[in-house]
Amino acid sequence: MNPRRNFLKASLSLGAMTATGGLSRLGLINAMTQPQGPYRALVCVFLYGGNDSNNLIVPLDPTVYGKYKSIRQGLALDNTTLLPYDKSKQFGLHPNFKELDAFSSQLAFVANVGTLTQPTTRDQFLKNTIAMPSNLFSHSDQQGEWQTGVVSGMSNTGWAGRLADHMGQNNPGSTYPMFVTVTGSTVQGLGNSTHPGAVSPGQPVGLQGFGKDAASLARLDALKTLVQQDTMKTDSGAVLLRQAANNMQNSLTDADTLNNALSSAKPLLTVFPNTNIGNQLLEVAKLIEARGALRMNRQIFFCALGGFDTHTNQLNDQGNLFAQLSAAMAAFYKATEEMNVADQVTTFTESDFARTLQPNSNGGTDHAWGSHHIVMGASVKGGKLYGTFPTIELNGPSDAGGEGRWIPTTSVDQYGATLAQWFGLPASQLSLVFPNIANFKSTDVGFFG
Amino acid sequence: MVHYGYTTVRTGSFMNIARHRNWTQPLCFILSAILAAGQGSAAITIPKPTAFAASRFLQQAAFGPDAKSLADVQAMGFSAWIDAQFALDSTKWSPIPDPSKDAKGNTQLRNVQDSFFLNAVNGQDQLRQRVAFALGQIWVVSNVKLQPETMVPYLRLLQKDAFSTYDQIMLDVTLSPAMGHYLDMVNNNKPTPGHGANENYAREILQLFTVGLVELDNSARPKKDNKGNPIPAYDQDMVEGFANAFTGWTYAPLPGANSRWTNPTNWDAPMVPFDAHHDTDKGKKLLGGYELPANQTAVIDLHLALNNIFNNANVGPFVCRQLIQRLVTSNPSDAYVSRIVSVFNSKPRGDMKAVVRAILLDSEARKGDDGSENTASKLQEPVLWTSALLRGLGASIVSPNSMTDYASRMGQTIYRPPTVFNYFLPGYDTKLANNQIYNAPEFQLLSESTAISAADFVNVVSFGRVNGVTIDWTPYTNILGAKPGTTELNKMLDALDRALPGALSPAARTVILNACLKATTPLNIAKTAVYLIGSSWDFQVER
Repeated sequence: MNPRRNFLKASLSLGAMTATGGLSRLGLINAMTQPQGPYRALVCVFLYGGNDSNNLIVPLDPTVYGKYKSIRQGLALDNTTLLPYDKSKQFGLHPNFKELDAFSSQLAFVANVGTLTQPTTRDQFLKNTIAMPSNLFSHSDQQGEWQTGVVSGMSNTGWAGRLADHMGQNNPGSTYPMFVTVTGSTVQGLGNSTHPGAVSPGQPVGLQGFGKDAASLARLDALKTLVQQDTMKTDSGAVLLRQAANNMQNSLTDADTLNNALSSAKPLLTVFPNTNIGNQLLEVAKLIEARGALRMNRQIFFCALGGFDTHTNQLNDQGNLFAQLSAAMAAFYKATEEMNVADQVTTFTESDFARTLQPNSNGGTDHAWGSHHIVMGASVKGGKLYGTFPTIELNGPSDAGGEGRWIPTTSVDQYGATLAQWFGLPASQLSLVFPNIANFKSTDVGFFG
Repeated sequence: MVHYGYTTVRTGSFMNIARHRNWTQPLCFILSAILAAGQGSAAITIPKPTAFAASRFLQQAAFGPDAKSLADVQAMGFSAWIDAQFALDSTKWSPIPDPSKDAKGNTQLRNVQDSFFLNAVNGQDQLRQRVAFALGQIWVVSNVKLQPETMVPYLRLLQKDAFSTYDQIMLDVTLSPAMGHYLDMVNNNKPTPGHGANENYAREILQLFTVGLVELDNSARPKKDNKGNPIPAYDQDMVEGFANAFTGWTYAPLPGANSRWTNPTNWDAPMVPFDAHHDTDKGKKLLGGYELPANQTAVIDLHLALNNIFNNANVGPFVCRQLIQRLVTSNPSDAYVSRIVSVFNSKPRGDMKAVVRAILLDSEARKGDDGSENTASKLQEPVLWTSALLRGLGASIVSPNSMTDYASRMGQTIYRPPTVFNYFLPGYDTKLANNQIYNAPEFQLLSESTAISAADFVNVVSFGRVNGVTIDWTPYTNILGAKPGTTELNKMLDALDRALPGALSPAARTVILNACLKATTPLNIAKTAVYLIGSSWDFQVER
């Protein structure tokens, strides 16, 4: 399938429908012919529960490590086990990231990212002199703020959904959603004019149980008609019925498209670990492999790994999760190499929040704020920590209180804007996706160089 | 310990537990106000419910209608049926005595899950199980962290307390070893140098189980300060205050063993206090400016802390709105919530029987029983809807069965929600086609893939076989006879309309009838009809 030929066909038929013709038709075609550039995909891995990133990357400088160790006590990682990560050997990676460490030049870390309305100091926070994000330290609210890119007030669309709204012209001729979750629904993918796709890893796509016989065809036709009827109901009690029926209509259309595309996609040779996150990233790889048949030039994926709410037993629980994450992300990176898109796919983490540097009295840590994150891909200028590492000190300049809750120094908006611009969103449109971005001086954290 | 205030809630976020916007609200409000005024009382009592009204009621008060409950409700009326349900004991879990163990004595969550569906479909104590299930979606624990043998005593506790009072539930759950382990209340030591107390249970009992994030009025809408911003219901100092108040509890000693700090796990008895590990310092800030006195025991501090929460004005609206959502409608009107809150706030405060009865008999829940237009509506969550399909079809079910597999594909693995935030949030809003938003918690589970999984489940029920489930098709094939015409088809559809209510508008009936006429045998006609009615969104969305 030649995507360009289809795009031309689509734009011509659209053009033919424009009665005024002339300049306005040309304008339409111009809009459709925005430089698309090569294929690009963003892959989000959300670490649900609030990942304690204080133990994701640990300072190796003896003085700073000493401070870390004296505050962390029993939860401190042994500096001889850390994987020296960056070129200047300032930071070590949690020892369970050994598979990922092999790709360290395609791996960047961003320090102390979090929800902010504007740059915020400890003094401003303690004196409550500027606006703060809503409901800090609450899981559901902080997940929501990370995913919507709106930290106060409300949003029922996510930043990736709005990104899909504004990048839609990059998938000409495709009806399949730009955003697909492989782990259940998320507000991150809800757009104003686009809807999210959803695929369950390892499950067959589309309705099961229909043959080619007349009875089957009649039954399938009836199902579709019933759904159609439900979308048209107007009585005051039918709001949710219509909503569910609309979703079913999209489901049926998108499943047909996807089934056709997957049937022509090449099987992958890369072996993924048989874990939940491994299977999700395998599904993402399959959807990337199907990009040509789906006529996608831009895709956004959402995966998640849960269990990071480590109020107890943190060393063990987080260690296990990191081991799963490392193996799955490494396999995914290899798969992007196999598909020759390693420099066209960028994978990044998000999480509710980080956790207190000071441990609690039973082997865990409590809810905090700014956290360190992983960005992976061959376009990433890896081997480096971006952003500003917090001052490791209780009641210090980075602390929101006295337990080591870091006030973020890079906002979710800035982190997302960096990814969105690489994805192709013009700087002039950033505020459509990140409404608060103007409150921050820089819109590029720099990890793409 | 450094204390600092987190008084930074500016406005509610989209996921706040309390709902903020509802575009149909003015209409709902007016309608219920008119109804309430006209009746002189909030409850409409219909002496003998029609089959339609009874099946609608049983979607709310039971795991859907089956033949017996349908007959009972029609014979007894709603109120007497509720009384009879209050009087029934909990269904015993099967296999007895320990449903978490299989025949070989191995511990399996699957046995507990299979028992859930067995009891949901077959249990006579439908209302108790439905309310216990609703409570379990507020006081969430999960097999993600807990072992199966830990879950069973907890589930029994919720069933026992379903018709008690809310403070009883608060006390029993707080001291239950399952919740103790799940949210780390167990073995939570008093603060020591360089370590605070574990804040997990303190934060979540406030945020999720009792008061919520922001101050609420009696219709569960956020109160606003003079700048128009929501008012936080508590701050970080209070989270730490409650965390310290809750320190010093460990598992009960095993029978015959000496008690020590800390005891080994014991899932069968409430946790026990150890005053030497309880924080007795002054300065434990609770809600409403209350501070616990220094030097009290763990028992006294725990009771005072729970009382402090229970008597907070937020508890009624926060809990009642969620119970309405779990039983009746995603989007109750302000007036409906207020009416239930005033029942909750009457003496005895938090009386679950009174609250449940009021929710089910409220005019807003019963409007529509006569087939008229009504706004009470919700998407049935997968475990309720799959159970309702089996009950409606008169299916027999045994344990083991594979119902859990199907509900899981729809995003709801019973007893294994991903986190303490349940499968969906009470404040989850769905964005409508016109970009307006509408509170609809269950829609958090609905996606392109789970929607199709729902239809696939009905396909297996109709044309395949769900392990452990048997459906007798003869009631339908008997109606159809050997050579069914439109008259027989319509009679069968009438029967199915009582069993699986909601799907057969005149237009839908025509479509289904035409598809049935293409089926080759009476059995396949019945199966085609069940597939199309069962998978229809009119059946999946209650209204």
